Amino acid sequence: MLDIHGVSIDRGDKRVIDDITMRLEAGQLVALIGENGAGKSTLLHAFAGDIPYAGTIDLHGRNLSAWRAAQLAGIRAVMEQHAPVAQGMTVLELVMLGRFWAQQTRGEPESVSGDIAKRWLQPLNLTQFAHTHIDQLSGGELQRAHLARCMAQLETNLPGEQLLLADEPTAALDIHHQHLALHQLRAFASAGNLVLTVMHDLNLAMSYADTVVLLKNGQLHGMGKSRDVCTAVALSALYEHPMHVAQHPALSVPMVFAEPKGGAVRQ
Amino acid sequence: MPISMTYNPPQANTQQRRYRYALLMTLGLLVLALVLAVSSGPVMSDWRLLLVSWWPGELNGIEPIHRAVVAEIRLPRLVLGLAVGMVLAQAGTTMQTLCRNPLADPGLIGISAGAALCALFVIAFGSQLGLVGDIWVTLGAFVGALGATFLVYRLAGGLRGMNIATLILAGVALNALAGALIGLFSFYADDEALRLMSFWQMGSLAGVTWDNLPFGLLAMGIASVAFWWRRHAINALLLGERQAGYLGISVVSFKRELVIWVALGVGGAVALTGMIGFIGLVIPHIARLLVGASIIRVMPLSMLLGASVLVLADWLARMLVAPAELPIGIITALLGAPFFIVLLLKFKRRLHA
Repeated sequence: MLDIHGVSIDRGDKRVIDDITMRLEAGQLVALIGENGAGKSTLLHAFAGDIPYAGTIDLHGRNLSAWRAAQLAGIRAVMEQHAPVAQGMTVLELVMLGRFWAQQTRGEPESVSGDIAKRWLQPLNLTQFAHTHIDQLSGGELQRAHLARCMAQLETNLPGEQLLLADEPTAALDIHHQHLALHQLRAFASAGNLVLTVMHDLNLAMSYADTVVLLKNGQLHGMGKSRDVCTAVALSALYEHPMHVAQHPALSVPMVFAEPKGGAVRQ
Repeated sequence: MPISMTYNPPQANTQQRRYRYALLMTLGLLVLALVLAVSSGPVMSDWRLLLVSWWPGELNGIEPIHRAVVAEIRLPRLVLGLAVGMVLAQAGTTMQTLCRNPLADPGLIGISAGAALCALFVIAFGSQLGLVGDIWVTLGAFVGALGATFLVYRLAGGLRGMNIATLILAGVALNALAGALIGLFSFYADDEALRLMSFWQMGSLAGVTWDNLPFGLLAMGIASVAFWWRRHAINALLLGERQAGYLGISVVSFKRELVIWVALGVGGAVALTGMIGFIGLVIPHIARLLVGASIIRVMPLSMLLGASVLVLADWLARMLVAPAELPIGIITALLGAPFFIVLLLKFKRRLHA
């Protein structure tokens, strides 16, 4: 669905993404992991069409730059790390903005957009905030509101695989809401779509991602199921920090334990 | 269930209710403005003048001259006031969203001045260039508004990194330059240069006839319909350009399109009335205070409010020193400038950044 071929990105004279080639199929949640400055967000923004790159990125076999904004909005949503705040806008209005493309290109009535938006407030625990101004929300509530907006944007009765790009979608969330949000992303991916996220919480990434992509210094350092690629050796090298990998006490997923610098605190 | 916060958000949709109240109140204001504008003036003040255009029979004490005053003076002036107030408020709403800047007003940042300058240029020198007629004045104002907009963007560092302080300073510079040139051109244009200067710099709806109206009204009408038609897209710009792009807007061409509508609307207004300040600044702010940020609500309310306030301001301009007339810009500045000062205080911290 998303074909990346020989993509390189320079910032000034620094090469931040170095010749990355990969092919991502729909039906999975993909987590980009790596240390700060590895190029995760840069790569995500390249997929979003925000920054110039060398090489080719094809979405559904068609060059990314050949898509018109209005077409793209119907099959691709982007959740940014630092979500913008428009003062005086309510949560419901924010989520309804996701339906803009449908109102414009398909003449979707306002009431239908409103219904779709309201439907997405519930699973993200936002119903009580529907008419709250977004500048009064906490960071986590705002992040959930933006996720709801992206989910509302991608709701369609047309067949076809859709793409959700999310830069650290759970960074501002508490544990309960992290799992609530990732559950939604998982369900969306399982329904035959592609979710591409940047994640810093390795255990969340390994619990929810079908595919983990390891990035270091702008290069691809591994890609596959977390069981296969997230070994103690690989992760220790990726983050240049000693790590241990063990089984989840209840589930059959690997979990990561980083060694505290200078040893653990005395209990 | 997650632990609930101390803040209790409103359960009912108070926003929607406030919007309805605000629309109703503004409609009331508009009706008041219409009644005052038609029924009162230096020639005759009588509420029955409202009916005079439709009343088939005789009305006691109302002479044909009074009918003529209403039909040929007050009505075209009313139509002009409604159109100008509406389009200036819409242009202000749009510029403020486009620049992501609460102080971006077509008057303050010099767009109106550019329009006035070029319109006056056509009036002063048009006959030597073969450009005679209202259509050229309107076109001149449009070109001037467009030129001023691009110049201000350049000076303020492009749309992306627009800085409030630079924007205001660019406006000050443009207004000063245009003011000086308007003074100069006025002396070329007419023996009554001082009167002409005051018309262009402070605006007036006086002396308009049905014959003057068509081109300016057409320009304002097109711009107004375009703003209305694009209100959902302007609303999406509230999230910033990048997000607007993700939501399905071709941002670069959309920004260009909006600049053209602003120039057309402001140009059409200025060509007929000169520079009327502060409407584009104050009206959208009041609308936002009443109904929140969403352009879907701010746009219609701004249109109604802008039209009502401008007609009321024009009525004050006619009545305060009757039978003489004040330039309407004096009234709008008296109302708007203190508002501007309050806004400056409010955004002081952002200006220093």
